[in-house]
Amino acid sequence: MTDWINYDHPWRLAWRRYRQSPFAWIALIVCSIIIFAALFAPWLAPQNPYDLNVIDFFDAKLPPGSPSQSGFVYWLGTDGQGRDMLSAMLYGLRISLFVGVLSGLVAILIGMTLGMIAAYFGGWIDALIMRIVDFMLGFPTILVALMLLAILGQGVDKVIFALILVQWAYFARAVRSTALVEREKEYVEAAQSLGLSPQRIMFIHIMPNCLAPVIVLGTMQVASAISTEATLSFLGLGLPITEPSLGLLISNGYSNMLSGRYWISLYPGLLLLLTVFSINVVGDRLRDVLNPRLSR
Amino acid sequence: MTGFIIRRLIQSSLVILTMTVVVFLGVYAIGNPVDILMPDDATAAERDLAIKSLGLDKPLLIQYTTFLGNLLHGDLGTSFVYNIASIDLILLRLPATLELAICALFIAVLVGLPLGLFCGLRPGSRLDKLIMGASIVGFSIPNFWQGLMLIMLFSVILGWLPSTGRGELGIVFGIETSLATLDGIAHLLLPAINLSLYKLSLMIRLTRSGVREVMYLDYVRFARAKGLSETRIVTVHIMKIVLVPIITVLGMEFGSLIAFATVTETIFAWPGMGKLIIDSIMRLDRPVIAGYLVVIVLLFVFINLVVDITYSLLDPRIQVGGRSA
Amino acid sequence: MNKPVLEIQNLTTRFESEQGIANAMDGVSLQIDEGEVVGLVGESGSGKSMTGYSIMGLVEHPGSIVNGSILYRGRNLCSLSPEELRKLRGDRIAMIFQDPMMSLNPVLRIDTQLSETLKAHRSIQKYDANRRALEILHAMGIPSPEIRLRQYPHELSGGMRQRIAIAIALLLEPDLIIADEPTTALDVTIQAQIIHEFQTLIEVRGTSVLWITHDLAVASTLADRLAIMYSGQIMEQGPAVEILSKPAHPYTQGLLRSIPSHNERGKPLAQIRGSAPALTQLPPGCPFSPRCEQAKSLCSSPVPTNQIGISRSTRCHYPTVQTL
Repeated sequence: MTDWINYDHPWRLAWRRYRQSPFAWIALIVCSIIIFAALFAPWLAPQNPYDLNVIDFFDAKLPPGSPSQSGFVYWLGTDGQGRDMLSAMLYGLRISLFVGVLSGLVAILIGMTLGMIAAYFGGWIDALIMRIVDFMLGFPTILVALMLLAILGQGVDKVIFALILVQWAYFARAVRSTALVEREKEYVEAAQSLGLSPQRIMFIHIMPNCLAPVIVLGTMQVASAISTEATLSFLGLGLPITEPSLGLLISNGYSNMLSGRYWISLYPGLLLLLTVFSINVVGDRLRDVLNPRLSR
Repeated sequence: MTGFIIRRLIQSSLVILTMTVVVFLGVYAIGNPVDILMPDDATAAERDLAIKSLGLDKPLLIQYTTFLGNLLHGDLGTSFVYNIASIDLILLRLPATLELAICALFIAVLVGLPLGLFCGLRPGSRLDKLIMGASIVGFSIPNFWQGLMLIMLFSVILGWLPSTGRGELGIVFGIETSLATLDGIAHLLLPAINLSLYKLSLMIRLTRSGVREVMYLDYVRFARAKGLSETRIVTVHIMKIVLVPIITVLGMEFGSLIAFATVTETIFAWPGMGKLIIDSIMRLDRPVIAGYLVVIVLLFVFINLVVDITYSLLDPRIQVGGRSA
Repeated sequence: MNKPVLEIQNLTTRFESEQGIANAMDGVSLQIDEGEVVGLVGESGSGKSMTGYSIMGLVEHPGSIVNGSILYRGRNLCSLSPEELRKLRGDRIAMIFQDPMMSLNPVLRIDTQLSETLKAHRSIQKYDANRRALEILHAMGIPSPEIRLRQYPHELSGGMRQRIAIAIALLLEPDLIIADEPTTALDVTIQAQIIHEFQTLIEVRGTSVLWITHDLAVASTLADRLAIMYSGQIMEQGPAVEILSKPAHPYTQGLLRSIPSHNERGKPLAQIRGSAPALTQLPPGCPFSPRCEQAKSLCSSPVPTNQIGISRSTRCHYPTVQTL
C-alpha cells in the first residue's frame, strides 16, 4: 500500500527547505532591506546629494557623526565635495542595483530564448549559437566589459549594454543543457504529436522546467553584475559622474584614504560588500534547495 | 592525438582571425583618434599631416590588410603616446603581470585545495560551515575595494608592507623576478593576495563539491572494503578523480586572473600589462589597445589548448578527438 | 562440525532520519561456518546489503550499529578500533560489490588497484606485488593477464571487471568473502560463467562465502545454507536443500510458489499480495503479517526466533513445514 505523503507544489517544498537555514533567512531579509532602501532612497536620505544648493562645500571631509549646518547629523561623514555619505550611498545603491538588476533580467531573457531555441531545434542552429556562446565565455567578463566600454564610451545605457552582452551567454548555456534533457522527455513528444506550435512547446511546456538553474544563476549573476559595474566605475570607465554608483564613490575616496579619511571609501565599500554578499548567500542557498541531488 | 592537436590549432587560428577583425574594427574604425592627440587649435594642415603619417586616411579594407600584414610580422603599430612599437611596450610589461598572476594562482591552490578537501571530508561540521561562509564573503568582496582595504590595513595602519610598485628584482633560474629579493616579495605580497582571494574562494568551493560528489561513490566504499588506509583513500582515490575537473577550471581561470590583474595593478601601481591597458584606454592609445587584445587572445587560445590536452592526459576515460571508449 | 568463521548475534543497525527511525537490520542472528556458502536472500530494502556493510564496518552516517555483536573467530568486530577493523578488511574478510564499473576506480590502472590491496596489508615490494597479481589472474583463467594489468576499468567488459573484483577479494586469501549481488549487473550468460568460476575458486581454497542476492534461483545453485530476509529480519534459515523443498515460513513459501517455472500452464501466476512496507512504518509484531494468508491475532506481537530442527530456525508464530 503506497501512502501519499502530503503532496505539495515543488516550489512550496523548496521554500520550506530554504527557510531551514537561519543564515540564508537573514540574508534574504537583508536583501529585502537593501532593495527597499534603494527604491525609497529619495525619501530615506537626509539630503539629496545631487542638489547643489543643499551641499555645503565647507562641510567637506568631515568624519562620521559630525553635525551639519542644517541640523541633521552626517552619520557616516561627508565626502570630498561636502556630500552626506549616507545619502550619497543610498543614491549610489539605487543606481548600482538598477543597472545590475536590469542588465541581469535582459540577459536572462535573451539567454533563455537563445538557449531554448538552440536546444529545441538542434542542428546548425544549435551549433551556431553554441559557437558564439563558447566564444563569449572564453573571455573573462571584466575584459570584455572593459573593451566594450573603451570603444563605446561612458554612459548608463552603454554600461547596461556591456553587462548584458557579457552575461547572456551564461544563461544560454544553462538553459540549453536543461532543455536538452527535457526535450527527450515524453511530455514533449506528446505535445508535438498534438500539433502544438514549436513556440508554444518551447516556452510554455519546456521552459518552466528549466527555471531552477536560471533562478540560481540569475541571482548570482545579478550580484556579479553589480560587482562588475562597481569595478568599471572605479576604474573610471563605468557610470559617469552625473550618476555616481557605489564604485565611483569608492574611487573618489581613494585618494583620501592615505591621509586617514577612510570613511569615504570604507562605508560605500561595506554597503557594496553587504549587497553582493547577501545576494550571493541567497543564490547559494537556492542552489542547495533546488538541486535534487544534494539532499544529504 | 596529433589529429586532435591539428584540429584544435585550426580552430584556434579561426578564433584568432575573428578576433583580429573585431579588434581592428573596434579600435581603428570607430571614432577618430586624431582628435585626441591634436590640440583643439591645430590647423587643418597639421591634422592632415598627422592623419597621413598614422595611415588613417586610407580605406578601411586597406587599413585592415595592412594591420593584418603587420600583425603577422609581429608589428602591432606604434603607440600614439609613447612612440614605441606597441608590441615592445606590451612585452615589456608582460612579465610583471605573469608573475603576479602565477603567484596569485599559487596562493589560491596552496590554501584553497587543502581547505576545500577538509570541508568536503567533513561536510556539515562547524568548521565546514564557517569556511564555506567565509568563501562566499571571499568572492563577494569587490576586488578593488578589498585591495584598498588591504592597503589601509597593512600599509597605512600597520605599516608592514609597501603599498605601491614592484620591488627589487633578482635573477632566479635565468628569469628576472621579484621572488628573488626580500624587498621584491614584500611588494609582491599584497597584490598577489588581492588577486588570489576570488580564486581562493572558488577553489575551496570547487574542491569541496568535487570531494563531496566522489566521497559517497562506490569506488571509495570499495577502497575502504579493501582495507586501505584513509590517507591513501583520500590522497590517491579521491583526489585523483577530483583533480581532473579542478585542473581544467584552473586553467581557464588563469586567463581571468590575467584579466583581473588590470584592477589589482591599478590599485597597487604594479607595472604590468593591466595598468598599461587602463591607461591606454583613458588616452585612447589605439595601437596599444589593439596589441593588448591580440596578445590576450593568443594567450587564452594557448591556455585553452594546453588545458584540453592536459585534461585528456589526466582522465583515461576521455578519448581525445571524439572517439568514444 | 566445522568451526564458525562468523557469528552475527542479535544485530540491529539503525538509521535515523527526518522520516523516522528505520531498523535496516533488526535482531539478526546468522552463523557462517568454515568452508560454507550461506545465501542471504531478500528483496530490495530487506536489509541484506546492510548485513554485508555491517560486518565490514562500512555502515555510513546516519546509520549505526546499535545493538548486538559480530564475532569473527571469537573477536567482536563491533568493539574493535577503526584501525584494527581496517586491518581485517580486505585481508581476512573481503567484499565484492554489485556493479564493478562503480566499484573499480576509473582513473587507476588495474595493477595499481590490485597491488595497493597487497601493500596495505603486507610489507611487500612493488615487484612482488605485481607478480602476485599476475599469479591470481592466471589462477582465475583470465586470458592475457599482463595486458589486463596495464589497462583501465573502462577498457574491460563487465564480466572481466567483476572477475578483477573477485581477484582483488581473493588476493590475500581471506577467511570470508561477502559477495553483494555480484552477478546482478551482468548478462545472464556471463552470470552463469562467473558463478561457476567462483564456485571452483572457493572450493579449492575452502573460503566461506556470504552470497547476498535477491535471486532465489542463483542462491540455490551455490549455497549450502540459506537465510531468507524480510524488512530487516531473518524469517527463516537452514540447510538450502531443506528450505527449498520444505519451507517453514509463509514468506518463503510465497517466494517459492511465485517462481514462474513452478507454475502450471494456463493458471494465473502466483504472487504474494501487497508490497513490502517502508522500514519507517513497520506494523507491530511480524513485519510480514499484513501480507500473510495465515496471519492471526498473535502475529501483531513481536516474533522470536524459533528452532524447528537441527540448524534450522524460523521467525514465525505459526511455522508450518510444507512440502512443495
